[in-house]
Amino acid sequence: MNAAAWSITEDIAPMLGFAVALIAVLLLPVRPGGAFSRASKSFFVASTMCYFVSAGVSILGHFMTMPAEVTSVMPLVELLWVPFILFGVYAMYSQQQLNDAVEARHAVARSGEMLESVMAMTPAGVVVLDPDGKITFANPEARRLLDLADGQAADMEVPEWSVSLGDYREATEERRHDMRDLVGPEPLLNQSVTVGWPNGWRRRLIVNTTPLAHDDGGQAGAVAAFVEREPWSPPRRADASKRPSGTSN
Amino acid sequence: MNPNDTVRFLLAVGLFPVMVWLGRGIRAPRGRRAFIVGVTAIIAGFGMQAFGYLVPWSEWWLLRHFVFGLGGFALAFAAWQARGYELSGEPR
Repeated sequence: MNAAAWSITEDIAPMLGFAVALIAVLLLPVRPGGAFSRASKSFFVASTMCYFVSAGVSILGHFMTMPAEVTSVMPLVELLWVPFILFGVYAMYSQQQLNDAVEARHAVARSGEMLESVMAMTPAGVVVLDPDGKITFANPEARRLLDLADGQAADMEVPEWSVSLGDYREATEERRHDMRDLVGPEPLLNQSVTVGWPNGWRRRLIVNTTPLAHDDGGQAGAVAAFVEREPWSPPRRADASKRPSGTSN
Repeated sequence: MNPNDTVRFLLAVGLFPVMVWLGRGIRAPRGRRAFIVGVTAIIAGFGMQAFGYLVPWSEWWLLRHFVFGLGGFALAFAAWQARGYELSGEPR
């Protein structure tokens, strides 16, 4: 093979390689949630084109006289490959970081929705208390048991009811309009709590609590789950004379 | 010896660790390796051009072009692997 043929061959090798790279880069998918954005793809195309153009100019130089301005700028064109591919990979990396953050946010939202549905369906009342014993969250059953209106829990300052530990017969004297007695460093198990309303209406609850802690170990509140100890039911009419005949005890 | 070639080679070598670090963004393992091979080959081509005058072998320049070609094919393979990984729907 003569020198001219070798010269063309040596230019064809990189041109062929970068032509394939250019096709592969052009086929990169740009789609929502994908790693490649228009920016990263454009930089990849530009970086590949640098060598594609450089090799092309070199091959054309075998057949025609290239202007000195063109041949002198070719080393700079090759040099541009470095920042172009750097920007391209950086844009791809940033896009993936962004996608991961969005995915994490969606995962948290899905987890929240699932927790919310569990809270809505559970037959126990569940409230989240801040360190002062104020209710910051209440599920539907807790709203029913504590007679809370929708949306009242979060901004409730002084509820009508008062809370005392123990059964109402041996209830502590001190009655609070919050649940700070349920907030402590230790969990409570099967704690009797009486909730009383100004009209004398009472509910006796069995409460379990789990303390919540900040990252630094400070008290962040508690989660309290409770059921009614003796659910109210209408009094039975135990009138034997009205029983249908044929029935027995 | 062309000073521009030396500057280009040193610049590329200096940015090589950044490219490898950012290359972690290519989630396809083979694509990531191919990207590193491609970048390494092209920077090696820069080095062969910058310091080729020290090598008493007439085909050195030919070899340099094939090293560039290898870099191009490796980058093409990396892009192809990344494309397949994107379209496969695998959890990322």
